[in-house]
Amino acid sequence: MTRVWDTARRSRAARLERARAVAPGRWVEAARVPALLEALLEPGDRVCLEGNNQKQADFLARALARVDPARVRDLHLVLSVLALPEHLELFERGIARRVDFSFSGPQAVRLAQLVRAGRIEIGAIHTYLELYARYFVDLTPRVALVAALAADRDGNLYTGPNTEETPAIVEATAFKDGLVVAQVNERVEAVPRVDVPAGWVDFVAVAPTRSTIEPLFTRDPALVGEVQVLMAMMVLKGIYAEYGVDRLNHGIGFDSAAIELLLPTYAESLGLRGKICRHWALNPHPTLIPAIEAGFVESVHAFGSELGMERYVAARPDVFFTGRDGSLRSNRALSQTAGHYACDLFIGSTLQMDLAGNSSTATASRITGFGGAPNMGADARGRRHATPAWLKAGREAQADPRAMPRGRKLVVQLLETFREHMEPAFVERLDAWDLAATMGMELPPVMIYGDDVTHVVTEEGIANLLLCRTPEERAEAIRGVAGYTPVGRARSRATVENLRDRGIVRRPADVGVDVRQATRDLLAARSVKDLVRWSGGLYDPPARFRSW
Amino acid sequence: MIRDAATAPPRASFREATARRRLLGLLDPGTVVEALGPAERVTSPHLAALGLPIAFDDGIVVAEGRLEGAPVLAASGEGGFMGGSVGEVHGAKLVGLLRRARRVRPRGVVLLLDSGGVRLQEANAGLVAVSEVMRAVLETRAAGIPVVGLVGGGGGCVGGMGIVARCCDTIAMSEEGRLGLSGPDVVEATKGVEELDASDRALVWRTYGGKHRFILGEADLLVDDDVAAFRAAAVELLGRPRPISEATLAREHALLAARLARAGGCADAADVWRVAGAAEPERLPLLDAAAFRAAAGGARRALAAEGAVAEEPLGAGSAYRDPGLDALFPRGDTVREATGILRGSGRAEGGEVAVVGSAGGAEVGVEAALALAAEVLRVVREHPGRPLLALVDSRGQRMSRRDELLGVNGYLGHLAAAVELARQRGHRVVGLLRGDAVSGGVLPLGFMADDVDALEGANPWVMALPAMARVTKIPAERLEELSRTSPVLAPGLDGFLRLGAIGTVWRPPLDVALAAALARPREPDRRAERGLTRGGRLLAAAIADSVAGGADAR
Amino acid sequence: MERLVFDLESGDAPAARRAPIVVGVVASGNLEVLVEPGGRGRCHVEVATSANGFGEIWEAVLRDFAARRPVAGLALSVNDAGATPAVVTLRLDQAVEEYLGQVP
Repeated sequence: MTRVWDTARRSRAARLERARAVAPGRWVEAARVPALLEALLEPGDRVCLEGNNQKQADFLARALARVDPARVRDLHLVLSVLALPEHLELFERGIARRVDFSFSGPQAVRLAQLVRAGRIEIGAIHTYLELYARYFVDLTPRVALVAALAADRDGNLYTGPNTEETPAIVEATAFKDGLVVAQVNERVEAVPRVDVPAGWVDFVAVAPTRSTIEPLFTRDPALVGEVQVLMAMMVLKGIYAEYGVDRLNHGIGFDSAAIELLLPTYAESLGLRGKICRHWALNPHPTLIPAIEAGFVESVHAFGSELGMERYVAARPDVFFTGRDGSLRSNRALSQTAGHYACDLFIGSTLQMDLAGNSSTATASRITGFGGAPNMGADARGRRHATPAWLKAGREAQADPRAMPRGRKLVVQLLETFREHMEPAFVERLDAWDLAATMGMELPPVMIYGDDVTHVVTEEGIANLLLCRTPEERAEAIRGVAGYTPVGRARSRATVENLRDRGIVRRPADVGVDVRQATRDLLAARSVKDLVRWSGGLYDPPARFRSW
Repeated sequence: MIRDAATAPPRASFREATARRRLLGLLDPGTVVEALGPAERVTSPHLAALGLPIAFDDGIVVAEGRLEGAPVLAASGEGGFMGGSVGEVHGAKLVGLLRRARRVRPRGVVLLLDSGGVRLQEANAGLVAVSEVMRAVLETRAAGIPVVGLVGGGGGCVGGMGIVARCCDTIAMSEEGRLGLSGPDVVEATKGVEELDASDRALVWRTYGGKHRFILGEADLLVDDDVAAFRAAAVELLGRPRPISEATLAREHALLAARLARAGGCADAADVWRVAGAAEPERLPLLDAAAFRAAAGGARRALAAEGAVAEEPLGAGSAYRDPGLDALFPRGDTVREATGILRGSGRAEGGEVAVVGSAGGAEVGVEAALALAAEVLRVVREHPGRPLLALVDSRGQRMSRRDELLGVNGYLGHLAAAVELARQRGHRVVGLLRGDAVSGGVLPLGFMADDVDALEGANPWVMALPAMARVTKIPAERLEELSRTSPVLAPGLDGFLRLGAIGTVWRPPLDVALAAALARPREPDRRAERGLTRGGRLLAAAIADSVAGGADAR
Repeated sequence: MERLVFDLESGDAPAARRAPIVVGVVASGNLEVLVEPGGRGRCHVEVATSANGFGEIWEAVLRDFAARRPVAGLALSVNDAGATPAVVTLRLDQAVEEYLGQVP
C-alpha cells in the first residue's frame, strides 16, 4: 500500500470546497462567518484563535462560540492568552475540548473551575516563545483565526503597531497547508504597508465592532510610592551601574516603572547616561518617555504596541522599529528572542518567592499561567557573544576557578517583603505546589526558577545569589532581604552579617543609596500629565488615565 | 530633540505635599507658629470611640505667620486623613482661628481647603462644626478681614466645605483641584451612573475641576500645581477683598443669575464653555495654567456679564397653607410656596416677620438657593430691621449633575452670605426646624440663624445609617448600637440638642414661642458653649477659645 | 485598634532639646510619627495601630531601628493605619532625621 503524502493539502481543498457555498470569494460578510467556520472546521481540529496579550480576534472568537456543537466539536485550541469569556464558552459548549496556552490572567478563576469540573483539558501551559516554537513542531494549527487592522481587496493584511504574534501564527499555518481567516476593522483601497501577504490569507471579514486593545503597560506615576523609589535607586546604583547593564527588558509593573522614571534624575546624577539602558526589548511604556527624551535610550524593540503611544512612537523612528508607513512594527516572537539572547538583564516582580529563589504567581484557586517571564527571566545558555555585564555575572557565579568559564544573564526579582494586607511575599513553600496538586499538573507552575535568579531586591537590600556557593547560603541570603516576614525573622543574624561582609547581602547604605533621597520628588514624572508634557503632547493617554 | 533633565518638572507639587508642608511652603520661612499642633495631641474622641485611627492634629493645621512680610493666619487641611473631613475638633480649630483673626486683625486669613466635607464618623458633630465654620468665615469677612480659599489638594473640596469655600472672599484653584457640593461618588450612588459616572475621570474634572470652575466664575484664579504659584495667588487675592455689603452681594447675585440664565440648559461643561464663547473648547483641558487663563478669560467674563437674566427662577408659586404656619402666624401671613420653597411674610405681635425656607422635604438646588437669596436681599433692601424666620423642612441639596455643573455650592454660599448681611444690618434671624433638616438643606439658612430652634418631630440628620455603614465600612448594627448612647451619630432632635446645635424645642402656642424668640437679644454663635453645658460636645468650645487666644474673642 | 508601648535600648541621641516634629499622614497604608524629647537612657515608643495582631513585627522593626540609630532620649508616638514594615522603617528614619536636623 502506498502512503498518501499530501493529506493536508487535500483536506484543505475539501474544506475550501465546502466553504464556497458560504463565501464564493475571500471576502465574507460578518453575519456569515459562523457558517464559514462550520464549513471549514472538522471535529478534533487544532485551531489557533489569536488571543494575544493585547490584541484579540474577538469577533472571530464570538463567531466560533456560535457554531453548532453537533458539527464542530472537540477542537484543540492553541492560543497565547485566554482573555475573553468567549474563549472559555467554547469549552462550556463542547466546541473545544483541549487547550495549550501561555497566560490566562483575566480568566484565571473560571479556568480553574472548568478544570476542576472536567470540562477542559489543559495540554500544557507555556511561555510565549515556547508556544510559538511548538506551532512549528507538534502544535501546528489547522486553522488560524487572526486579527488585523485592515485589508485591501486582494487580502493583504495590515496589522500595524499591534502586529504582535500574527506573523508567527500565520507562517506556521499557511506553510503547512492550513487555513487562515482574518478579521479586520476595515477594508481599504491600499494598506499602509503589507504585514501579511494576501497569498497567505484565505478569508477576510470586516468585524462589526473595531477590535480594541487594552493599555496593559501603562502605569500612572501618581501611584508610584516611596518604597518603589528606594528599590529603584538600589537597582540603578547596585546593579545597572555596577554591571554596566546596557541591554535589558523590564517586566510589567510599578516597580520597573519607578526605575524608568528615575533614569533622567537619579541615574543622570550618577553620570550613567550613555553607559546604561541604551537598548531595550520592551513595549512602548509611557513611563519610558522621560528617559527617551533625556537621551538615555537608543533603541526599543517592542512585543506589541501600547494604547495612546502611537503618535509618540511614529515621531521617534530613531528609537523604535517602524515601517515605511511610519507606524510601529512590533513582533512578539522576535522580541522574546531578543530578550532571551540579546539582553543582559531581565528584571521583574513576582507575588511569592521561596528560599531557593523560585517564584510564582500561582495561587490555589486561579490558573494564571506564565506569559513571557520564563523566557525573559532565564539564563540563555546558548548565547556565545560577550558583554561586560554577562562576563562579570559569569565570573561571580563561577564556583570552581578551574572550570570552563561562561557568562551569565542577570535575572533580577524585585519585590516588597509584604504585599497588600500584610501578606508575606517570602514563604517556605510556594502555593504553586497546592495548585499543581488540585489541578493534576505534572510540575508546580514556577514562573522563574531559583537557579536562574541572580539577584533578589527588596526594600531591605540586594541579595546577590551569584556569589552563593551552596543552597544553604542562598537560603540565608534570601532570608537576609526578606525583612520582617516569618521567613526573614528566622534568619541567623551572624550568618547574614557574614554574607554582608562578603557582599552577598547589601543594604541601601552598602550600595551607597541615601534613603533620605527616596521620595517621589526624585521621579522625572509624577503624573500622567507630566508624561504628556515630556512627550511634547505626542502621548495620548486613554480616558481612564486622564483627569482632563 | 533630546530633553535636558533640567526640563523635568521642577515644581513643588501642592497636591502631593502634606497639609503642613503646604502651609510651611506658603508662608514666609521661620515665621510660622502653629496652634494646638500634633504634640498637644488634641484628637478626636469620636473616632477613638469607634476604634478608628486618629491623627495628632485631627487633620488640620492652624497657624499664624507672615506672607511677604504681612501678618496672616492660615489653616491647612490634610486630605489624606479621613478624606480631610471635618469633625468636632477639626471644626473647632478652624472656628478658633477665624475668631483669632477678628481679635488680632491680620492682613487676612488663608484657608488651604482639602476636604470631603462633614466627617461621617462624627456625623452630627461634623455638620454642626461645618456650619460654625461657615458662620465664622462670614463674620470674619463682615469684620473687614479677607478670607482667601486655596483648593488644589488631592481630596478636593466638597460637601459642606464646598459651601465654606464659597463663603470666602475669593478662591484660587489648580486644575487638579475639585470644588463642589455633592461629590461624584455620592451623586452616582444616589442618582445612578447615568446621572454621573464617577469613574469617568474626564467628566469628573470637567464638572468639578479648577478649569471649569474658573470659567464658571466659582474660582477667581487658576494656577499650576505648585506651592509657589499658590503662594503668589494668595498674595494677589488678599489684595482683592470682597467685603460683605449690599453692593458685593448684589454683584454676586447678578453673576449667579446670569450664569443660571446662560448655562442652565447645558448638560456638560463643554456646552457651558461653548455657550460662554470659548474658542476651541476641546483644547482647553490640554493647556497649562497660563495659556488656559489667556484662552479662557473671555469666556469667564462672558458668562458673568449682566443681562440675559431670568427674573424669577422659581416662579411666583401659590399661597402656602399649612396648620404649622397658621399656628405661628394666627394673625395671618402672605407666604407663598414654589417647588417646596417658601417666601413671604407673616404678621406677628411685634410686626411683620419675613419668612423664607423649605417645606415638604424640598431639595434645594441652584434655582431654590438663588430665589431664597434674592428674597433675603430684598428684605434687607426694602424692609430694614425686619426679623427673618427661616423655616427648614428639607432633605438636603438636590443631587444632580446639573446642580454640580452649575456650582450649587456657590449658590448656597451666596445664600449664607445674604443671611450674614441681614444679620450685620440688624435683622434678627431665627431658624426653625420643622421637618427633615439635612446637609445643604439646612446649612446655608437654618444653621446660619442667630438662634436655631425646632418643633417637636423635626428630624435633623446627616446620612441614613445604611449609607453611612457603606461609606464608613462600619457594620450598620454597630452604628445603631452606638447611636443609642452617642449624640454624635443618631439622626434626630435629641442628639442635635445635646450637641448645642439647636437651642430649644418650641411648645404651643407657637406664636407666643415665636414672639419670645424674636424678643431674645441677639447673641454671637454660642453653640459650642451650649454643647459643653449640655454634655454633648465636650471639646469644641475650649479648643476654639484656645486657638482664638481668649474666650471673649468673638 | 491596638496600643503597643516599647522602651528600647539605644545609643544616646544628641541631648539638646528640639521642637517636636511629625512626619507622615494617617492614611491607609501609611502612618504618622511624632518625635519629641523623651526620658534619658531609652527610646520610648507608643504605637496606636488599626492593624491588630502584628505586635511581634512592630517589636522587631523598632528594636532594629533603635540598634541602627542613636535614639535614646527621644520619645516617638505613632498613629498607624496598616503600613507595611517597609513604610514604617522609612517613616521612622525620616522622622528622626527631621527632628535631629533642626537647630536646637
